[in-house]
Amino acid sequence: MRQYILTLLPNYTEAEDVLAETNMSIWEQFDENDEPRDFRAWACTIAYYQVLTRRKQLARRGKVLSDELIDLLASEAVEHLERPDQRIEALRTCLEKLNQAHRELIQKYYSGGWKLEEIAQTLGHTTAAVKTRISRIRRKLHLCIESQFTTEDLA
Amino acid sequence: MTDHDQDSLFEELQWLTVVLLRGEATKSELERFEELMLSSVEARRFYRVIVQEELALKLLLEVNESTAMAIRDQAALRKLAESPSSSLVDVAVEAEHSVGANLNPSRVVQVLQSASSKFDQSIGWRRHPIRFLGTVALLTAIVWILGAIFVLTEWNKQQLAEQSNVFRAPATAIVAKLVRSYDLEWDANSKPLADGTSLKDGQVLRLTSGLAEIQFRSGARVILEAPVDFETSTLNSGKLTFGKLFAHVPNSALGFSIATPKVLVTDLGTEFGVEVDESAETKATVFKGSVVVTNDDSDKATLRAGQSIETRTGQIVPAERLAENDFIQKIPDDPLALPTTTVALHISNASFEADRNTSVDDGTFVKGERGDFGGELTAWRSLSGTETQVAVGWNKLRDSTLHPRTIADGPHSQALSLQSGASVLNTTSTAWSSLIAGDELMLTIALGMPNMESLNWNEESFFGLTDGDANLTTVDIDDTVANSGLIANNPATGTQSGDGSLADVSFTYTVQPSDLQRNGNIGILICAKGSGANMKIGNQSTFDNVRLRRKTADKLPSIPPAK
Repeated sequence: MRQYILTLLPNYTEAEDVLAETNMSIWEQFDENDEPRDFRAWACTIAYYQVLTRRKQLARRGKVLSDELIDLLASEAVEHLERPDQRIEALRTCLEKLNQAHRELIQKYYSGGWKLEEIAQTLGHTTAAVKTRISRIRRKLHLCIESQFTTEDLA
Repeated sequence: MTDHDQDSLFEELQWLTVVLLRGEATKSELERFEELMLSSVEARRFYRVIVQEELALKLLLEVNESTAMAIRDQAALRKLAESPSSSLVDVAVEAEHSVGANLNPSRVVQVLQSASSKFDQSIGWRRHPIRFLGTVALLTAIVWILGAIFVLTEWNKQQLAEQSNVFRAPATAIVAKLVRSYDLEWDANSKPLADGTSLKDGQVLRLTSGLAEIQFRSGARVILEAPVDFETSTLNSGKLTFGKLFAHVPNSALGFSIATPKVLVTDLGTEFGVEVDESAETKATVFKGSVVVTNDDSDKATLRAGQSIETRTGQIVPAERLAENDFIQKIPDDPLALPTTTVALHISNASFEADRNTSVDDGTFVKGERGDFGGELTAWRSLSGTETQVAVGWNKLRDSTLHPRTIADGPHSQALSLQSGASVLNTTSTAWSSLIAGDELMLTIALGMPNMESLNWNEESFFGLTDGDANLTTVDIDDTVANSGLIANNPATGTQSGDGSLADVSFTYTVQPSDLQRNGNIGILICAKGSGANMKIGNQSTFDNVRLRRKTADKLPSIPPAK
């Protein structure tokens, strides 16, 4: 669900809010006696409308995706929804393969709440250089994850 | 599109997504993102993968941090667990248990994932200004802060309580729902609630009989088996003071906990049962998955499927596993749809066709004093021995002797006919106390109008079940436990006036828990309304073939054996 919402509303903070609201809404609307045939699709629909509501509020600040794109994503997202567990496992392996410096950099960026500028400052690099580096590591991780899936598929 | 194009598209999209997710995208980056995404299906596919990976990365890395915290602050966490439950405490306890139980890291991820989702839910309750920090980061910060607070022992406990209150659901929070119940009786001090009622935190359910299913907002489900004393604490925890419960905990609710007077049972993804006896000792059995049981002395036991513990004066010791069907796992949607067995209860002299008694005193149908209420057609009396008010076939009971008609006298010679004002009693060999609440008793008699104009089912006569007291002399319809109600003259369902044959009329009674307290056996009473004053041919009520059947659930569904 989190993933679905994030796809439609790519912003961690906003998505967490929408997730909480969606959970609430699902709780309120879920009727034991009238259980939807496809719970996931039903829950996604609720999330979709929560995203739209949130979008309207955000639109005033001008930082939103277009309606067209959201609808496109929503229509494609449900069928592609997978559990992220597998990727977490693959990712763990891949993180271990990184060298110390790269791992620390990624750790800082993802869990430490550091901004690019701050990381750049401590490392004595330019922001652009740090950005490029993180981007490359991130790309490496992606390829590593993909390769794991490929190997598994072949096995 | 070449591989190179794909690579560069992916790379560009990846970075755009990263900054977008973090809320750091500039206007031009946002526009570029839109442009790429609208341009191809491929881009949107990449995007979905990127979001998924970003989420995984975030969860994994942030979880590593908070796991490290959890290790450092175990002592603090334990203390936290002693304070009134809050979702934060749940989270912390889980972190501790995950670490303490030496679970593999993916397990920790799962636990904390669920913890964070729970946390999401809890902050959904109130719009707290620090939400923007991001759930797990916030959690991490809180664990640190509270850990530090505990280190500063001088810290005023009151302030701490206020701190943790921030994370507790508000006083009026709805934390669970009474999904459904079966045959519930509420303690006199407990307000009866209907199925579907929302339950607040701290809501006490004291049940004297029946089953109740409670669904917590976290998704955890418990079945309470009366007699039971239970309290909903938070959206993912409850308190069992007395009685039995079965808990089913889906992944969404990992860390669900049940506090008993002696221990805290914390779930790690399971089905488990807990029982608290009169002396407040606890017994816990795991059917699937595992749970962690802790007590005030920091004793800890991790139970896996098939394992049980019990407490002896508060100490956690291994125990015999409770039987599979010791806990009711599910409340049936329709208790009547359960596999049932219907048995006929023995009644002597039930049918005057096949089992005719020729002596008044021989049959179990007891005759009594004849009623005479001065023409008021309001009551019934049993017949006395020598009265000529009970007739079998056409021949009346005369001088304590039945004078049955022969077949040649008519087609229904063996039906018993009650004169107006008369009643008969019969007592079965089945004690009320041997029944189970929820059983159905179906009493059927063939009544009506044998093929003679002078005999029928007298207007507003009735039949019913009694508590087995055979000494009734004056009978009122209220003396029955249950009855057919006043049956109209020659009821359409009971008589077929065309050919004058007897036809079955039934009523069904569901046995109530209070019925099990009755001392006697199940009795049957059949009354013909009227009085001796207006006794005349045509005021008789004729019946035959009395049948009493008991329909009982074979048993409530039991828990399948753990694999």
